Amino acid sequence: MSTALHQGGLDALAAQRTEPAWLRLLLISITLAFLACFLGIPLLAVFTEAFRRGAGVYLQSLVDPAALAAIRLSLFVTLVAVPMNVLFGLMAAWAIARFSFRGKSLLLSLIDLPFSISPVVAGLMLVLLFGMQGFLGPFLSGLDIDIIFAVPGILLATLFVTFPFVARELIPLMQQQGAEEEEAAVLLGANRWQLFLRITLPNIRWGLLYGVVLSTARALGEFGAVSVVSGHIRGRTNTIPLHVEILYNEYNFSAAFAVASLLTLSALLTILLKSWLEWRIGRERGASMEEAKP
Amino acid sequence: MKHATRVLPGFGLTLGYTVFYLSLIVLIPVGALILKAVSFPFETLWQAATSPRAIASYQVTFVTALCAAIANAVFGTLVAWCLVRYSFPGRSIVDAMVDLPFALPTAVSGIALTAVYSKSGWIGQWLHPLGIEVAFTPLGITVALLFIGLPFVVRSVQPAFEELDPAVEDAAAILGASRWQTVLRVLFPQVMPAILTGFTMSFARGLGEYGSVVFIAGNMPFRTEIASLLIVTKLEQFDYAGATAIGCVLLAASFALLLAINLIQNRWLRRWGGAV
Amino acid sequence: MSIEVRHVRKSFQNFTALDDVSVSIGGGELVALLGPSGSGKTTLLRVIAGLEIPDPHPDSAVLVNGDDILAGDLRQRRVGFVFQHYALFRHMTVYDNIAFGLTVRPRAERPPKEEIRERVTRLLQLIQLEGLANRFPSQLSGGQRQRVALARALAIEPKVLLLDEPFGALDAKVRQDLRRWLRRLHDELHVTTILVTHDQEEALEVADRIVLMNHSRIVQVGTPEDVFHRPASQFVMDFLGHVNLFHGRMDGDQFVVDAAPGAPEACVYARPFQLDIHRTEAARTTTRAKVERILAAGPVVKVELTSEAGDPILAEMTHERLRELKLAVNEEVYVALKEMQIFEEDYSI
Repeated sequence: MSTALHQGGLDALAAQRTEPAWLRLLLISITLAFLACFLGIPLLAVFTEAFRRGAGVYLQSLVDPAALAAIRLSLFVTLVAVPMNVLFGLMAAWAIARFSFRGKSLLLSLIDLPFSISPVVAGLMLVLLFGMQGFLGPFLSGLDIDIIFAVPGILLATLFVTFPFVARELIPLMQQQGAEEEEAAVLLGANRWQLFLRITLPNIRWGLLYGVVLSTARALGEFGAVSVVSGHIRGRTNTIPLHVEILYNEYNFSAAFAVASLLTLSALLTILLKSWLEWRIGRERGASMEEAKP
Repeated sequence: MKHATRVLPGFGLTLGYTVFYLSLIVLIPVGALILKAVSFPFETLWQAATSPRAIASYQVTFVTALCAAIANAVFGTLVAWCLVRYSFPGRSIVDAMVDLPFALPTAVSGIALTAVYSKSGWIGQWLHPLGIEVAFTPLGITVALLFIGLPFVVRSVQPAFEELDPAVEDAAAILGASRWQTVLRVLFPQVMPAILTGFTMSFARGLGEYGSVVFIAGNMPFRTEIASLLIVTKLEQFDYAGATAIGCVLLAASFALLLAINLIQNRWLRRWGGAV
Repeated sequence: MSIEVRHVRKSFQNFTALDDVSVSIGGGELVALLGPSGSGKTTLLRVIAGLEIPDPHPDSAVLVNGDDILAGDLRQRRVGFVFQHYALFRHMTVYDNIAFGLTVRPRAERPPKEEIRERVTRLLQLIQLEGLANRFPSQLSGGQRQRVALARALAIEPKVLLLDEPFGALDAKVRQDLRRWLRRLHDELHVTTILVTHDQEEALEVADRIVLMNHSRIVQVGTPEDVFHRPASQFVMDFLGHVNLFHGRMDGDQFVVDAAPGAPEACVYARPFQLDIHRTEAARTTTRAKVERILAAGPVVKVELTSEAGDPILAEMTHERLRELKLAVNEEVYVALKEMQIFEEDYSI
């Protein structure tokens, strides 16, 4: 009897600790319905619209010379921008996570700055700096160098908006890991390349890859900043997202969605990689926490 | 602890490169905007920044971003709660998909949302008979900003829910609080800073968003023209003073919000002496 | 290899971690740097390792075997350092961790693969972890990680071995075992060793000599017997174990609690085992006291008392003595001093 009483008390307590089943079901339903309306259906719409006029039209839109040129330009910009972000991220993370110096928190805020600036404003800044009406425009045109409405401008805009991604992943990771392993390696005689390649890099590899994935996704997909500086010259300064815009504005919806579906696939791949990397990093953090315990 | 030591090499090189690259990519362009603004007579700038069309665009931008951020704070918290507390089929897929707005290029989001919410779209066709027009109205802008801002709230609130100490809830229950009281008086105050942070980030993103909005907005001056679009329009008309003026207003707004986020976090950090 | 630290100062922003510290350590010694947390002992160890540079000062120098440590290249110096949390390379196996110091040498100085294997195997035997060469650090217990860290430091045949709270993160039983093992190891290898600890028992048990630090300064250097029996100050006395404090005056060379005014004031420190309890007033009686609690579970009996002045007193006695006295709680007894430490001039704690 006392067991029964005890059980009754536990049930009452359990009821106090979670919601009744009907409420749980309701909340989950609202969540799923909300996400379906705003994420799921738009995602499906991309592919249905892309294939609305059949696979032939779909494929044709992708092999159109203008589309191929846009794909080439986007890949080129990404392949240049991401390694530059990696280099910067590694340098910044080493300086910030391994040394203390005056103005460190200011430096950290400045690195985050591009996150809070509207991409259009970022593009505007580049126009004001390098455009014909800008500070350096007349000087550069004298040298016959085009930046605005040309590939260098697109690259600079992409570098601006993807600037913080790698550094932002690496700095907290390296701060959390601490410098002791590297100090130990130096005391054991490692030189700076051995230190970087054999100690630092293996420890941060997943975080670094995470930053690479995020900045690749953003570099491929950036629209606002690039749109301002590109000039939309078909076949020359159109990236994939700009090409989508042009097709869409020409009411060539199927082609627009066909090209957009490429970007969507890369976004889905990004999400997949991101989830996998989060799992890896979580596991490694868990292990390092385990290690710090007695 | 993290000691800064002389044994680790490369301080001068890495800091030097960091500052150099930061200046090249970020600081010089930001400086260019400010210098350009200063180079115009103040009167010109002020007129451009406060012209009726500009004011209307601020209003559209501000109101739609605010509505979207509020809706995101509510639904994003709900999503985070369900993801952390309940198990249901497909949860991990739903969890991963929350990042879609981060990963999907904004132009793609824009055309996809327009296709779904236009009069003949999958959802729009059901709303149209009810007299609700989404695409090409301020409501459409709000929908786009809702989409763009959702992950900010979910990803900010989710860890806060995960870090809640279950013993605190148990303590409240044992002290006789009903579930509703526990949720309202014990749980929510603890995640409030995270919700506020997510709200502010979503709002800030909404103020500057361009790609996803231009397709669904319809872009009618005074009605559905957002501030960043007006900058683009001004640039296309070679009205550099106008573009610079509105750009400065947007820049100031994002700085103010950045400050607000820091203040929110510092306030709670001080009060609770731990990580928020 | 001897170590000599001369007039070293080190400050961080507005905090002084080392304030004019000088100490010299002979070759082959095992020395414990002992002190409360924040006393500067870890900073001193890191300065000796070359991990921190002391504040520039004309008199200051850190010499290892006569060579200035601040001048040379850190990597040539062959300092073995064991970090508090081991700092094992988490992505390398035990074998690779231990071999690291040998494999990073310039090609010309690097021993051939066979020799490295031999040396690592020997070290694995030494730390009694032969079977675990292919494990990763996260798969080891705390005590095992500690030993791997030590083997990794020993692999480069260091001239000096520096250990930062090496047993700090381990539980009591493992600590005890590792402590004895470290002592035996040191007796075998005779590498000059400095060990930082805040645990006085550990220092007293393991070290040849103890360097006591407080408030960024060295307060006493001596053998364990020296510092325990002849503490140079109240701080040292207090830090090395529980002490009872009695205020009173000197009457000639006799200490009297509350003697006639005019005699020089003094205070007396006595450890619990230096006190005697009597039923009647005896020679060297210090004060009357009331028995509060008797703790008889343990190798010695601990008796908690309250003096007439109201101060708590802790005394220790053997079980035989307790049976002899037939003590009971709330009884009035006399506390006498068998031995004591008198500090005449300065008795502020």
